[in-house]
Amino acid sequence: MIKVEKLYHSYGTKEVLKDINFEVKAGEVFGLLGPNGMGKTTTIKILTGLTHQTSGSALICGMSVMEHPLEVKRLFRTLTQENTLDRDLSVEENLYIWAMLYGIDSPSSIISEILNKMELSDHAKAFPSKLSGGQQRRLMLARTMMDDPKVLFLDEPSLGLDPQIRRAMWENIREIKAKGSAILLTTHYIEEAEQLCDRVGILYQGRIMALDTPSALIHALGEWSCVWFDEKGKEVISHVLSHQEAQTIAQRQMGEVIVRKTTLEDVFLNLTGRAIA
Amino acid sequence: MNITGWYALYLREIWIFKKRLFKLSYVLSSMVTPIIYLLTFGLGLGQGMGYDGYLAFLLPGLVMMSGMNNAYTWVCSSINIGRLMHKSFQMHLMAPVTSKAILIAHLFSGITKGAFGMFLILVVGIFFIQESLFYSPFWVAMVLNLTLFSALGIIVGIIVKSHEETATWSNFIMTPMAFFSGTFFPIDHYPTIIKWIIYCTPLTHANILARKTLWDEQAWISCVILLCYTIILVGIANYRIKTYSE
Repeated sequence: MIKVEKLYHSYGTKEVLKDINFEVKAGEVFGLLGPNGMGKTTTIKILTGLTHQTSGSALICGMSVMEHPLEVKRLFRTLTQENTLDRDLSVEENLYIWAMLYGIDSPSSIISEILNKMELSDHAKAFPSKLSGGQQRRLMLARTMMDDPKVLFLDEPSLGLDPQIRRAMWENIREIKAKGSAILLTTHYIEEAEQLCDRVGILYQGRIMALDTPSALIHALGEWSCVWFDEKGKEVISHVLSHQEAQTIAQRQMGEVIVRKTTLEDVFLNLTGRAIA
Repeated sequence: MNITGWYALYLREIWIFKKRLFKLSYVLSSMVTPIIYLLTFGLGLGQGMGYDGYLAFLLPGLVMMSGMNNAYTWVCSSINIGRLMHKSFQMHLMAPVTSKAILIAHLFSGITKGAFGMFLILVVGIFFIQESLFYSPFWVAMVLNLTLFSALGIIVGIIVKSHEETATWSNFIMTPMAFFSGTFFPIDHYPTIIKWIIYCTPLTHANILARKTLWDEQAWISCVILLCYTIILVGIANYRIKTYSE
């Protein structure tokens, strides 16, 4: 559904994307994982036609975003990082304009259905400024869920949300996935990537450093991690394949050793030499 | 020409506009400046200078100036705030609508909002003037004036890098044009060189055309010049939307 090949992009002399390649299939959630400023949003902007790439190809359902913008735009919906709701329009009016823009038939019934589903029915006449941050985010997601898009771009979908609302949003995303949409998600939350993504690409300084399922990436590094501090007080992490090996390392060390399961954060740290957030 | 979706964007603009209109302060503040001009220049300065029918001269000019300001400001603000602050402009670009649909929506919304500003001045001015001022050239001038300044609003809204930058355009282009383009005085009163510079501005021709009672040679020349400005600015606005890239 989504295919990116040899994608390069520069802002002036600054190269922000270097040889990006990935594919997202129907019913799959693919995560671009990385800290801010590494090119995640730029990748989405290129795929949505908002930024014209320097070179390489971006295809949606086999069609080039650059060459067939209108056909491609009919296939995807986007949830941006920023709050793009119309502040001067009510919740209902926001959805109505969106429905008209995307040519959704009989919008009234769909609007009331989606408001119910997102638990926003009581706020239909309210302005976005009267909603909480989580409700505003849900309203933005509601816009993308009014019809069943083939492709969905989610740019930091749970940015700034508290854990409870974040989990509710994850449920909504799983529902969309279950309907067969291909979802490209960017995040710098490790837990989000582990919970939602079938595969992740670790994006660092404009390059995809590794790309696989979270479990495969973790397995490749070693599923168990031993953490201790050396004599200079520096943290040392050793990744091993089995719990038994981890225990052996722990017994060999003099001080306290923490044995725990390896996470995507460890994978990221190992690949880039820095923490994700 | 595929313009599906233009109505959704136009409706959005009009709904937002309507909500502002219900705030009395907006209507009053839109009327204050033109009424001050009408009173100070029309009733005060004009009579003192001994012009006969100066109000009849001034009113079409004020109507054109108000249309220019309203169409340009509303469109420019909507686009640059939507683009730089709310990012709603980007959402429209990501929607399955063509650049022409976005262009038409903003042109029509600029025309609607500008016409409303013009209407307010007409309502006030009509109390002071007995004779009919508005012949067919006036209505043509009105439509072209609103269209071309809406297009300019789109261009400036897209190219400015900050909301503050729009003030530079207003201070250096719109305000001088409002004062020098024959709104308050006939341009014949200016020195020759200045007169020719002023003769190049679109508002000058909107003012000339708006004051014509019949389609004489000068009316046709002004109409053609306004039409050329409109075609060029609409073309640039369409190009700017079509090639927009962040």
